[in-house]
Amino acid sequence: MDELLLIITASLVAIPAAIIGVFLQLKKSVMIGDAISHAVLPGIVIAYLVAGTMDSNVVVFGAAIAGFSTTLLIDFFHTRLAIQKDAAIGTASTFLFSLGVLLLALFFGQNTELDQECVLYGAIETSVIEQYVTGEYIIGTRAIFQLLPLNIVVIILVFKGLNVWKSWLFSDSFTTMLGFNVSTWRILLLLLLSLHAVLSFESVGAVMLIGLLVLPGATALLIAKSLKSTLILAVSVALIACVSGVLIGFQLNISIAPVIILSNSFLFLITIIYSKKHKRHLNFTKN
Amino acid sequence: MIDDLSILYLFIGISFISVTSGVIGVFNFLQKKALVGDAVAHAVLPGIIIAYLLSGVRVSWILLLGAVIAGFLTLSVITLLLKHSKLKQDSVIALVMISFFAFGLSLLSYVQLQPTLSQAGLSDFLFGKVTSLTENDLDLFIFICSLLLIVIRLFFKRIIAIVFDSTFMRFKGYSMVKWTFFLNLITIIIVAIGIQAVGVVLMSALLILPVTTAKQLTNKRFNLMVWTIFFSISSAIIGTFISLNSSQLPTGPLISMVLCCGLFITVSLKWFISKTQANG
Repeated sequence: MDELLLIITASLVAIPAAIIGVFLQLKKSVMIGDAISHAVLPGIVIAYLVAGTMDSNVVVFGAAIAGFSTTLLIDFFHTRLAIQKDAAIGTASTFLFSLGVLLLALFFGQNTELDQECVLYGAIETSVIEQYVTGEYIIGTRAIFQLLPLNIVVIILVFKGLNVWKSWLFSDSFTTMLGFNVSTWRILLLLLLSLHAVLSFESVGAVMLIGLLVLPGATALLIAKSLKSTLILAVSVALIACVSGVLIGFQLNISIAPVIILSNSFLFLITIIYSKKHKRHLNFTKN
Repeated sequence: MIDDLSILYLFIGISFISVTSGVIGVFNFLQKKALVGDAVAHAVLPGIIIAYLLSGVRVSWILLLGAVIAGFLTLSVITLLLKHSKLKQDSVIALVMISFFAFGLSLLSYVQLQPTLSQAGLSDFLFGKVTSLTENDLDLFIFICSLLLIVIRLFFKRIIAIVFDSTFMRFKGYSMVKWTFFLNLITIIIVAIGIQAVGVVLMSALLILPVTTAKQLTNKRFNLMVWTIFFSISSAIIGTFISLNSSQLPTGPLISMVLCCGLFITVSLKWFISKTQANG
């Protein structure tokens, strides 16, 4: 039963990550995703300090907006201080992340649920403790009920607005020409990402999230031919990796989040070997 | 336990590490490859843990060797993937880095389960802890850092020319394969050393932040180096000092925070001066 709950939790973390990750990769802003997933840490720590819990939605949104402000910081460094893009991303993410770790060490010490190791691994194992029970049946855990609305929102937004996303990924000016506001869609994506980073923080930590963002999408992009099939493939890769990751992690009795990432990497490896053998489907020119 | 002399030696060692990584960070920065150092820093974790598992003891040169091998493996996998797939560069770097890091974390969580293998402070590598460095470690680090600095001094003009305009230097007959290998080698070595002091997660701060701050002040090659070295040394000393005084704070984030404060102070001073000059 625990395995099943863990698989559901992990999948609910991995599905939006895979979808958002495909968009980030096609827009060449993976490192911004990395920066945001690092930078929600100080927001989360401050939210914990103020409210003492992560249950309230206000706190979750506060931390997510703090994460989103990373992009503003990066833009500030890049445009106002004329720091080149990669260094601006590196500066913003190391600044916010070290701020978060220091706050954590200062105010929480070593022995709370929000400890330093949790920042790296997450603690998806502990998510099964808080169960919601009606009658004799377990209907879910707190983590599942927190992640479910985000999943629904992401999936609806993606499949309702697929054409807009497609034109946005293709070209900014083309999207503007069609009459959509480019920055609105970009902000929407990054807001969803930071919301997701906050909600999945307890499950996979701040550092591992980039793996869930980039690996399923990269695997799918190796073989898929359209945006729709890329998204579907990425989600299925993520789901397979979640199931095998949870089961293997349980067997070996080690932390689950790294094992899920490793299963993803393994799937990527198999796919790239396969796609190299069937060369004719692909063009191997680097763009 | 800790007397004044060994603390002084610790400060000297940290300054050496910090200066060397600051200088190498300049080259990465000018090549617009600032995030490669971050990737390498994350990816050497499994190398360190495997080296520890194989040897059974925590000796810094063995761990260093493991880290350097893992670093090379990372960069070769990145190069291979860039050549053989149509994925973008940033996704390739991110996915290789996180795969290696996840492998390292799984190994770490396996090591922590084994009663026979004591943890040996392996988790210190995540956020860094200067107090865990022994004098033998510091001897080795200072030796390697001074070696690196001497080599960089010898080839300084050529390195700067290559990072500034690699096409021109290839045109003049320099082998870019060899020089890229050399630049990667020094980056990997300094990362392998630096993570033992400031940890895996914030090693990139030591590489990126000093040169970013220095770039705010000057555009000249020589001045850039001088300012980078200045910011590296001062932040390393201040960060280590605070870290020694409050044992619960990890060193890596402290040094990185001091560097960020340096950047903010520099930027605001620059802004203030330009305002006053504009008003006459």
